[in-house]
Amino acid sequence: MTTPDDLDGRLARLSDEWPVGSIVEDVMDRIRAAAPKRARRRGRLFAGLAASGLVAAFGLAWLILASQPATLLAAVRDGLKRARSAHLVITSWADGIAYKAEIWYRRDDGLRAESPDQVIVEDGKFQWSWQTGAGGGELIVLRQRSPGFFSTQLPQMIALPDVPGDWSRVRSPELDRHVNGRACQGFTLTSPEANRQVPKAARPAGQKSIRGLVLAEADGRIHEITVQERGDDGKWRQVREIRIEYDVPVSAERVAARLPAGARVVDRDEAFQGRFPLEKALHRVELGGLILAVHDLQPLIDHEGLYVVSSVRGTAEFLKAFPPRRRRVNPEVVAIDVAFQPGSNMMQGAKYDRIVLGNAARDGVEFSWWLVMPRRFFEVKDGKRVYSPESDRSWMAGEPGRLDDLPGAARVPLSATYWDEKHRDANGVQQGVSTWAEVPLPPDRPPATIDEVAGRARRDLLLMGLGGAGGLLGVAAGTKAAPNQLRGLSHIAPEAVSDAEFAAAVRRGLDDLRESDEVRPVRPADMLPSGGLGTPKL
Amino acid sequence: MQADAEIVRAVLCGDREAFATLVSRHERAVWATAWHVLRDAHAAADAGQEAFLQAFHRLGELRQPELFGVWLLRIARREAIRLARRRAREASTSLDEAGTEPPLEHDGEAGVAQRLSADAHELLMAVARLPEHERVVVALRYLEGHSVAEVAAQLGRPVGTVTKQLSRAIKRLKIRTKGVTR
Repeated sequence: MTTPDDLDGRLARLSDEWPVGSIVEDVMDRIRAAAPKRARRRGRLFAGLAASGLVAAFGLAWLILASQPATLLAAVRDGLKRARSAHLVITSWADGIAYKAEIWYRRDDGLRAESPDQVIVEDGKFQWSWQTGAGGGELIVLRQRSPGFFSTQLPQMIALPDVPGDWSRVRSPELDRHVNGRACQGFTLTSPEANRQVPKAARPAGQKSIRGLVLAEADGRIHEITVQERGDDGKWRQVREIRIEYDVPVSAERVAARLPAGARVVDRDEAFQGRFPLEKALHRVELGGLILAVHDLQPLIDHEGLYVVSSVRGTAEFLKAFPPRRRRVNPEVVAIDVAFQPGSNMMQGAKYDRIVLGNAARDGVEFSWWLVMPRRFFEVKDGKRVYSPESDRSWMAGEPGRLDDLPGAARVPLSATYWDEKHRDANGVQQGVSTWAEVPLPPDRPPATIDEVAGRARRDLLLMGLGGAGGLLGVAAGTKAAPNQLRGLSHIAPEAVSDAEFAAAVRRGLDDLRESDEVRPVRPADMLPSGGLGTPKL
Repeated sequence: MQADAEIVRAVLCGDREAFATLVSRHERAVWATAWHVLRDAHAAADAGQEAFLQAFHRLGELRQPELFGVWLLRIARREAIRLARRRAREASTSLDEAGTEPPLEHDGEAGVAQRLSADAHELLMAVARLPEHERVVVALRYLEGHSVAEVAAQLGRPVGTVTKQLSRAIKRLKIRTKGVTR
């Protein structure tokens, strides 16, 4: 039988007997050949191919051309800008399958990037993008103001430390050859790890040596880069190849915005900003330099709660005092991090649950679609749930006992967390603002079912989430939970589900939270000090 | 003592060596998580390494740096499941090619059991089954040997919260290892 004190000793013995050694050095050895990457949406082949290709190309170019990052940016920008045109072919291999992306650039006219599933065209003023993969749905072309390829995107791509500065460069005359009709010199770039000649048996599992073979003209202009990985058999295999041709014929038509026939053009700026303009918000409040606004509000039937669409953005003064970080999400989207609202299902105070249906962010404004619902406390008696009577009071200071006790208005909890580095507590935890707002109920919003409001959220996000700006959140069918945990939320593409399927995903999240509403009677044993800890070491 | 969130920010600002502290703090919780899925000490160590590397590369996606530990354990579990599936595929392939490849050597559950006393083995299984947030505090407090105050500082949580989480975890461990004779 176990006693509380036993557990301290038993856990100490487990610690002493711990069956494996430390992996700190192994992990750090592998990390030293890389660096953290900025957040990037998954599933974008173009982003993976084109961006990584450019990054590798220019990262390696820097190693050859210059010793300072500033020179790298200048050299790459000036080099490409000096060329009248350029054609890049980036090929990556994964699991034996080759993925190819091409970029055509024509000075003063723009560029066109093609990958197997996406096309991006940019003319310096606007950018258009569309998916080319299989799919029977309506073809939508997204249009937005140009994010600025040379001024914004290219430097950010180069800033990604894909090839760290500690790679060594060796002149490799045996690689010299003509590329694109130009005499090129060969160089080999290797990571410090590869140089260490670590015996195979001593290498961490799964670690691969990587090297880059570069062919460049005498003036440093790069024509070909091959990234290779050494297999277990000691042979080098290609994992990525970038070929760059300068001043090749690229017709104006090639980079012109020729949109696919029958496509619907959606202006991404209008789609996002036009749906819920701030000046038409039902309610807005300024807190700590942030503007919190409620744009849509609808009661759920049977007093089950509220459906809310809310947003957060910085005031002009706040943005001036705390300039937000700009973060490239993919070749199309640059995120501006100001503040965010809760992004997962949670208990809201003492009496309510918050169920998140989706979110979208663009140009420093974040929108959230969510439900706030009173918790339904119950006890289990004889195997059945017995629900407690509803109460109009809350034991938590400042929390209203009801959401719907105001004539023609509802009480809505609003909150947001700052992204910036200044608004942190002593432990570095991000700070936020919150308030309960009294929001007028729109006359055209009678009580609705969860299915109805979930459908409306889906339709909002079909437009506002375009191009990676946002999407739905819900518990996907078949998601399993670890013991005593909520099932995880999945990102759901609005176009990939029906209203009913999405409503079911929302209900699964609600069901999980409602499991926490069980009230267990306090027994005398529960009043005793907690066992097992002994005296905490403070 | 630096909080996890501070270290995360330092790494994102370019101090990649700071990541070693996070690895050191959470490696046992990560290994226990992966071992719970794989039941193989070496494979769990491999999955643990991959989890840390994934976490390092995706650090910019972590919206709440103070939840680094829980986020990391979720990555570890996913990595372990991915590795388990790959091993299952490889096992079926090697069956198809029976006789052409030497059998895979695994340090399975029996291997760990040999190195641990029966009680420690039972306790390890119970720790691995704790909810992630409790597994993090138990690992820091008992497996890494930090005081409650240190754990609270590392996780950026109040001491009272950590004490409550430890208390709940201990209750679970007691229930799950009840009746073990040593």
